[in-house]
Amino acid sequence: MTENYESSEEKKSSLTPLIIAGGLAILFFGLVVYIPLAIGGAVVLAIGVFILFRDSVEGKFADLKESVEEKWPLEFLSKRKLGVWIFLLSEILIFGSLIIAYTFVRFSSISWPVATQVHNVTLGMINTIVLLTSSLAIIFAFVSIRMGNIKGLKIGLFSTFGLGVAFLVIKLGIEWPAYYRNGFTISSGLPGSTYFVLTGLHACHVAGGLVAVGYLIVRTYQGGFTKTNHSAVENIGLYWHFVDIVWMFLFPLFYLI
Amino acid sequence: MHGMKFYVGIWAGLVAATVIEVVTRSIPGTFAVISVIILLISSGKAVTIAMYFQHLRYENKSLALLPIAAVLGVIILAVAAWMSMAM
Amino acid sequence: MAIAGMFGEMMRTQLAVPMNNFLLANTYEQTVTLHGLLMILWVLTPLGAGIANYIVPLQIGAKDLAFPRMNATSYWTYLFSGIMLISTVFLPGGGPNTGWTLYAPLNTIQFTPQPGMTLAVLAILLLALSITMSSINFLTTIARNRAKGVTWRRIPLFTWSIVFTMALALFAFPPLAAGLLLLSSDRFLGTVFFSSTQGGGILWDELFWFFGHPEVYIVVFPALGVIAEVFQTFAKKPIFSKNVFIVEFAAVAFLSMGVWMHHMYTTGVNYSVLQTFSFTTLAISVPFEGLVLALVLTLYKGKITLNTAMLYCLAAIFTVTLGGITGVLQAFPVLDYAFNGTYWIVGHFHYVMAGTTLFGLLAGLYYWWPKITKRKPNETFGVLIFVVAFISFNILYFPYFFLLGMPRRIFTYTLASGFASLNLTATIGAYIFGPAAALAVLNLVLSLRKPALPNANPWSAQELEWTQNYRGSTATQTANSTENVVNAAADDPPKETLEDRWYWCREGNCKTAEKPVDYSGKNDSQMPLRRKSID
Repeated sequence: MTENYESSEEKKSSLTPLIIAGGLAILFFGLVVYIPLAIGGAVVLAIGVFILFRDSVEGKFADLKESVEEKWPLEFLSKRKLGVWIFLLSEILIFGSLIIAYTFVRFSSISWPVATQVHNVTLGMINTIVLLTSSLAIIFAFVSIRMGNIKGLKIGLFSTFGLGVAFLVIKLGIEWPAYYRNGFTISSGLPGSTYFVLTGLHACHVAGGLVAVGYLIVRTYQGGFTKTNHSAVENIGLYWHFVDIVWMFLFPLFYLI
Repeated sequence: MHGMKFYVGIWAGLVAATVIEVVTRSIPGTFAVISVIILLISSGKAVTIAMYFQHLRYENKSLALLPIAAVLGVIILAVAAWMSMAM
Repeated sequence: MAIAGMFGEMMRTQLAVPMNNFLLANTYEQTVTLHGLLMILWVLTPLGAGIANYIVPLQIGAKDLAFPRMNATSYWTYLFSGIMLISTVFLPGGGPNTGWTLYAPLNTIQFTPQPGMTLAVLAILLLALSITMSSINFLTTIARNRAKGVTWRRIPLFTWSIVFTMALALFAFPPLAAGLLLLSSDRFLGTVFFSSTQGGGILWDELFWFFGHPEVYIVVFPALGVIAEVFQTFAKKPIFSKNVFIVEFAAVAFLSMGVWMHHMYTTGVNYSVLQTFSFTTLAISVPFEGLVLALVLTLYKGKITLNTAMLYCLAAIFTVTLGGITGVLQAFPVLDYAFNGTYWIVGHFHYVMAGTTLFGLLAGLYYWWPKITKRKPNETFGVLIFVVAFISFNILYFPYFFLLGMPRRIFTYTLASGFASLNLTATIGAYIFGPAAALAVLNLVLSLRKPALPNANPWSAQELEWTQNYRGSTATQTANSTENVVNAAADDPPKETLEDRWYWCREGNCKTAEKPVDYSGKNDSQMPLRRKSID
């Protein structure tokens, strides 16, 4: 007696792993050896991610029907959600290590500039509120689709996206050029190094989150979400809230203390 | 389980906490004390987001244990690194 | 693995005679670095993960890992990152030549300007990504994809060892990635993390060794799991107290995250650090010794069959004991001041990594070969090669413990130092051990020419994986009546989260309160899952 697994659906294998891995490798290789190759790698990576998203939107490679199985102590928890949480654990550790590195170099230093003099606290505070509101927006999207309200879902997702873009624009478009003009750059010493690397990595995570939210928007328009089938919104929301939590620590550590 | 009103309330609390943090910067006090207060407020904000926005309060306790374990790992690294700094 | 092994051979050739000029200094250093990086990160860790990839789903009754496409992605990323690392030797200036630990500030552009170093850093970063994906995959699978009846207590010991391996990998690799990110930004963007005089070197040490120590446990845990399985099958006895075994495993895993500064005793850190970490390092030897003791006690009064897999496991117990004892000696900062940076350390870690892990994983291959390929490897050759390999292994590495005065990573030495005869002995051992290891694998591959066995379980093993077909039907899964399927038809809302249930009940669907079935396994027997007949 064979499971649904042996049906013709499951015999297909996906090319996205190979494309994504290849794109990443070419990107990294190119960064060191030959920059145009890096751009080529980034393109391949983007194609791989695009195909991945398209597969998800079309519902291919959907989960196998899970038979009765052992779940203790994690009943009532979907596999994808658990996967996202475990991924977030690794992210907690990577940002945690970087923050520890920052405190380590800072407290080993003889002198460190006063935070409020070097950083623009007002813009930082505005950015914090922008990010908090974007978290609220994605909650709004989630609560809407749970009631079956597609319009609310769209409003929520678009707001999240817009606020995320606003965050990046304020940071990259207004704050950072001002710092560079004042001579506070990434290579101007340890304060600059730590600030730009940490907030830069955070900004990359925001950008990645925006790509994911974009995927949600596209999938909404293709009719992918219903009152009962919307776990992707929740899971990407979990990631988005995590990015927000990291900023909750980065803002005081750099702008206030 | 919760409507938007509840979440907007949480959001308002978080924004208020942010403002309080910024204001705390200018109160008189030693650098160490102010830093600790500000970091406590931020930790509170982070935990609030985790519990309510990420829904940890209503999930399995075992799931909530996972991020706690990760934070514990970070704390171990932090404590040891700071210990080794005090040469 | 072949390439890394070849690097090892090259190193031993260089060190065979004093004042040798087979390899130039820079080349030797690159060889040292690449041998270390490749062996630890690209051979031993993935070998365990690869065996796990096949065996773990079978052992828990799952059809595949939780996220199959991510599984494939992590494999390809691993492969490409390995190719990237090896390609660094062909770049101008050569590859990384700092030793596998890539200490700061040696790793900055100022002291190691070649692009090969930067590429190596990115390759390791890519590998960290690959392993993180794997760990997410395995942990979710084991937490969620178990078949009915496979409670946590009933999970076989190899899978348990993978649980701890992957949990440690999840926690250990991000700090490495963080350090590599900082190093990359130093090399690409001109930041000054590791070149600044304010703690740059120690910063790298902290991040690297917070990864590095759990990493060596990640390397050795799967081998310990294999030994547990092999001992149970070939002594025809269940493990001596499975619960205690698992608890000890957990203790070792947990403590391994708190011992890393014993790699930094000689960096001039303060006294309280030395005290704390020597205490934790000694503490970790207690549950670890408990594990080895439990394994040995499993053999006591068992009906022992001595075939190739069993012999490799016995050898692994020998090496882990010897390596472990030398490790305990190194836990004392006073002694470590003498040992650190010398060949004593090299001997210690080759005994546990090359010895225990390699022998353990080879045993795993020999043990599960009939399951994977339905063919039994040739026992006579297997035993013969084992004897040669084991003896040559000891000829190769035991002299290292006597080379206490010889520093690590030097590319040659003078005749006057007195190291010559021991080095020559080691090199002779290496020339025999390398081919022996290769032959051991060749023996497995050659068995594919034989016809398939009718009985895919020649050892009469009792564990779950022997009754399953990969990706197919199993003997343990009950008939899937539709009311048991969790994700029912689209109209019926999935009761996946507590909130879903809340909404569902609010709409008037739950007439009676549903109590979840008790799968906690509190009343289970501790025996591994057995088939009906016992031979």
